[in-house]
Amino acid sequence: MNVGKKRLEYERIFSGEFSVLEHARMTMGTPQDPEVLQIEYQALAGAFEKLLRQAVRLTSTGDKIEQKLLQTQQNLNDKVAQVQALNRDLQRVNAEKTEFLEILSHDLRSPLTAVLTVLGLLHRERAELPADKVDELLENSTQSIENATDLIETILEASRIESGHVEVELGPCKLDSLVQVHVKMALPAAAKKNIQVEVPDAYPAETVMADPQAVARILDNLLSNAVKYTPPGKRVWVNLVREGNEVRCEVGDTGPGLTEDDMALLFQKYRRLSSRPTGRETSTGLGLAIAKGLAESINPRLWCESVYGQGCRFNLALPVYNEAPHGSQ
Amino acid sequence: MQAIHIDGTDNTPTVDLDPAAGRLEIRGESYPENVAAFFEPLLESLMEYLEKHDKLDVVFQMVYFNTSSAKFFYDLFLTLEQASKKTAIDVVWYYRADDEIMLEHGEDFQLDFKLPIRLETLPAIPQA
Repeated sequence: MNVGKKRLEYERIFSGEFSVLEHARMTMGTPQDPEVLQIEYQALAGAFEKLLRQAVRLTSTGDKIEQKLLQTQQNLNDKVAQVQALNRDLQRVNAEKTEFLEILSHDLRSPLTAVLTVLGLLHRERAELPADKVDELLENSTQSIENATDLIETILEASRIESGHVEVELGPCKLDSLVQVHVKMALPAAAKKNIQVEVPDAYPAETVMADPQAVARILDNLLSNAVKYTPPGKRVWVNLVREGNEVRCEVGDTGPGLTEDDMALLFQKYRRLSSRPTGRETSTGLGLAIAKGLAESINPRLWCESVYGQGCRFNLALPVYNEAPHGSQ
Repeated sequence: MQAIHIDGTDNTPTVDLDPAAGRLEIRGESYPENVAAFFEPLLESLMEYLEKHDKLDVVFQMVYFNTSSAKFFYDLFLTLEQASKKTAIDVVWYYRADDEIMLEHGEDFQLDFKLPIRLETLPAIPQA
């Protein structure tokens, strides 16, 4: 619409006011009796007062509209920021999935390729190979397949935890016995790297409220992690500390520790941080995510304290089990 | 006189002038392409109604209106104010509980005109 036409439309909105002015001009532009002039003046003054009232009102309306527009714009900006954050999350999830596929293809292909090589060798040269060599090849292949199976089980477990399909049964759980058993299970891996596992002379007897299987899985992950990231010849330590209504299980290592960036990513899936396993162990980057997911499902707290260059201390805090007094409702 | 019914659009309000019920309702958003063309016929019909009747209930339920529409609302209230000497006029100005600006518009009209204008709250729109 051209400017002239638009102008005419706006003038039409004020047609009443314009006609008052026109009438005054015609009447007062020619010689008139003082009485007529006075009547015309009063009409003009009345119309002017009405116009002023309108001007005040319309100025305030314009300001309110502007205010509403600014509010709307702010709301819109907030929504855009939300969508952008969502988009970043989606990109991160997508990157995680891509990384997952890369890990999966690499970590599954390696053992399978090894097995295929062995099978080919056996197929071609079984007759010439000494029996003990065949046994060694079969043992290595079995180990490779077990590694691949473990990896698949780990991925499935992480997936179950992520989708919330973890059933936990809370009950009294003897934490000291559990820790003792699982530290023992970690000893062979530690021995391979000549890592000393330091434990107290006797763990304090503590019963906590937890799902024993979930706690066992968390402990295994924390212990295997500690051994994995501690250089050969150094030490890993485990301790149980009672604090108020909680029992804290501490698993410490003397590995490289974590940078601040690492700490932020620590419990996320598929994150292999700046530090690397020190004894050619494999790492999926899923263990701590599983441990954290399990911890959240049984309601204890799991956190890490670390100074870069000085190792890590993982803490698993569980509520003390209080037996309900007999006869209570 | 004939009843007036105008369906609302994205930029024009729903308008109902029902002479039988003695009721005028204006609801929705108002920023017409040509404000005068939209409101002038309504104002003329309203004046015609007021000449022949002694009672009118007016309902405003606006979500948004622009400055040009405000000028017509002003003229409309002025017409009602003048008619109120001989016609019983009752105005209800609805605003959403979370719409402070629409409440202020209602309060301004209360200040500007000697008319019984009641401000009534509608439930706020839930945030997504």
